[in-house]
Amino acid sequence: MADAKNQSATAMASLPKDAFEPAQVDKTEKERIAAPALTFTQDAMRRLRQNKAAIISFWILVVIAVLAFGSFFWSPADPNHQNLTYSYLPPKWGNLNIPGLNGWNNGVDVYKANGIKDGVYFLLGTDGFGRDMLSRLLAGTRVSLIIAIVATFFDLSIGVVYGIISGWRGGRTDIVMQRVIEIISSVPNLVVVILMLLVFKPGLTSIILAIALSGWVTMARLVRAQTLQLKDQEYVLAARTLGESSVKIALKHLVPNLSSTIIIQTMFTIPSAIFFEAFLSYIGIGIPSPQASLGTLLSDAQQNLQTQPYMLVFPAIVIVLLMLAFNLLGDGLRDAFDPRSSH
Amino acid sequence: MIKYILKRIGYLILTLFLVASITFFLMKLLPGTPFNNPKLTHDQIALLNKQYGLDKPLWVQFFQYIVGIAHGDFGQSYQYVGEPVSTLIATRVGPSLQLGAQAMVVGTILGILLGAIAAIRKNTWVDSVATIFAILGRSIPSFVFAALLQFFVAYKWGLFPVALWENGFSSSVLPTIALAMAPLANTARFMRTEMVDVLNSDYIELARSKGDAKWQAVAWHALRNSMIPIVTIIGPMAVDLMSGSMVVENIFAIPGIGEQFVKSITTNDYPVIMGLTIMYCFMLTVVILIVDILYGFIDPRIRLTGEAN
Repeated sequence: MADAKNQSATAMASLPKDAFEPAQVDKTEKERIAAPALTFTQDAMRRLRQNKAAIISFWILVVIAVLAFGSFFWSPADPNHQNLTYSYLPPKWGNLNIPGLNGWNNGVDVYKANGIKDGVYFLLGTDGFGRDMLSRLLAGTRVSLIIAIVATFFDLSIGVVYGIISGWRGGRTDIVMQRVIEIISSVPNLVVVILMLLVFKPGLTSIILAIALSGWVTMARLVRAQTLQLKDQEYVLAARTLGESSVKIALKHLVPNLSSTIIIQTMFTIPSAIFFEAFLSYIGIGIPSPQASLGTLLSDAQQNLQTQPYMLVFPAIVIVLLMLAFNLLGDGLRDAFDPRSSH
Repeated sequence: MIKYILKRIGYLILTLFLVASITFFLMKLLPGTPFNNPKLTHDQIALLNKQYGLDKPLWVQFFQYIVGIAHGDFGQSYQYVGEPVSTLIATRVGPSLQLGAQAMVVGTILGILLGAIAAIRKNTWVDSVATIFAILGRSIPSFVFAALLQFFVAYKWGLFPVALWENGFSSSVLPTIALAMAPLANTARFMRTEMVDVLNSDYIELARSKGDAKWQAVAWHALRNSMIPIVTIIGPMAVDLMSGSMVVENIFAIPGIGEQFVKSITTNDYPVIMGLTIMYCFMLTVVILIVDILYGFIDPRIRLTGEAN
C-alpha cells in the first residue's frame, strides 16, 4: 500500500510541469440544444405515433368515417328502397365461392331458389324488405356516428363549463353543484336517458339531447378536479392580479391546460354514446323505423338471428370495430398526454 | 364512523326523495294519458282516473305518492290491472339479483386472475393476450355478445337453454357470462395496473430478499395489496351491470326487473317505470354506500370523503 503510493509519487515527479494544460471548455457548446425543443403537444404526438395499436385504430376510424359519410354522396343503393322480390338474400360477391359470401344460406342457394337474375347480387345481402344491407350499414353507421359525435360535443361543453364554474367559484357554489352531481350520478345513466326519451318526441334530436344531458357528469368531475389544481398556479394568480375577467382566464389559461383531459375523455365518451344509441334503438325507443342506425340494424338482425345470421355479423363487426378503435385510441392518447399513467 | 354512516344514510334518503320527485313530475309532463284507448267512453276514463287517483290535484297526488313510497307502496301498474308495482318488482327482483351477483363474482374473480397473470408476465405474449381479451370485453356491446352466445352456444350447439328462466341454474349460465364480460374486463385492466405498481414496490423486494420464492411474494403480499383498490370500482361496475341487465334479460327473456323496465317503457306503464327507477337508484346508492364503508375498514389510510368536511 505504502509502496504503491511512493511509486506513483515518483512517477508524478518525473513528469514535466508543462505536460499539463487546462482543457478547453467551449461554454457555448455546453449550452447548445442538440434536438429541437418540442412543445407539450408535439411531445405527446411523438409518443402517440409510437403506439401501434392507437395509430391502427386511428386509421380504422378514418376509413369507417370516410365510408359512412361518403355514402351521403355515393351509396350502392338507396338504403330505404324496398323490393320484396329481393327479400332475405344472403351476401354474394359475384361468382366468388367463399362460404358465407356465395349466396348460400342454410344449405340453399337462395339466389337460385328465388330465381334472381344472374348479374344481381348484394355484397352484404338484403333484409326482409329487400333493402340492400351494405347501403343500410353505411347509412346506419353514419347516423350512429353523427349521434355519438354531436352528443359528445354537447356533453363535453356542459361538463367543461359546469366543472370550471364549480372548481373556479369554490365555496358554497361548489358544494351545491357537487351535491347535484352526486344525485344525478346515483341514477344509472341509461335510466336517465330512457326517462328523457319518454319526455321528448322520439327522433334524432331527442336521442342526441338525452345522451348529452345524461353523460356530462364524468367530464364535469374531471374538469373540476383539474380546475382546483390550476386555480392555484402562479400564472392564474398573475392574470388575476392584472385584472383579467374570470371568463377570459377560463378561456385563456384553464381550457388550454385542460385540453388533454378533454380530448382523452372525448375518446371514451364517443363509444359510450354509440352504445347508448344502439341500445335505445335496440329496445325500440331510439331511431324511428325506416331509418337505419347500428342499433336498428342489430335489433332487426336479432329478430331473424336463427334463420338469417348473416344480418347480425356485419353490423356487429362495425360496432365492435368502432368501440375497439375509440377505446384503443383513447388509451393511446391518455398514455401519450400523461406518460406517468402508463406502465 | 357511526356518525358518518348516519350522515350518509341521510343523504341517501334525500337523494331518493329528489329522484322520486323528479321522476314524478317528469312522468306528469308526458303527453297523453295511459287510457287513450278509443273504445273507452268519457265516463269510463273518469272512472279509471278516479281508481288511479289521477282526478286529484297534482300536489295531492305527489304527496300521496311520496307517502306511499315511504310505506313501500309504488302505486298500481297500468298494464297489469290491479297489480301493485311493489309486488311486480318483488316477484321479479330475484332473477335479476341472482344474475347480477353471479356476474359480479365471476367477473371480478376471473378479472383479478387475468390481471394478476398479465402483470406477473408483464410484456410477454401472456400479457398481450390478457390485454386484448380485456379490451375486447370492454368493446363488445353486451347485447351483441349476448346474441352471439345465444345463437352459437344455445341454438347451434344446444349446450344451454336458449331463453327463459325455467331450468334453474343452467338458464342463468349464458346471461351470467354475457353480463360478466364488462366487470371482467374492468377488473382485469385495473388489477394489472395495480399489480405492476405493487410488484415494483419495496416490500416485494424485501420479501424476495428474505428468501421468499416469487410465487410466495406474489401470493402473500402482491395479490392482497393490489386487490384492495378493486373495491372502488365495484360501484361503477354495478351501474354497468344494471344497464347490461336490461338488454341481456330482454334477449334471454328472463323475468327480471331489467326486462320489466324495457317492457314498461314500450307500454307506457308509468307507475312501473317510476318504481323501477327509484329501485335502481336505491340499489345503486346502497352499493356505493357499502363500498365506501368497506373501504374505510379495509384501508384505514383512506379518509372517507365527507368526514373531512
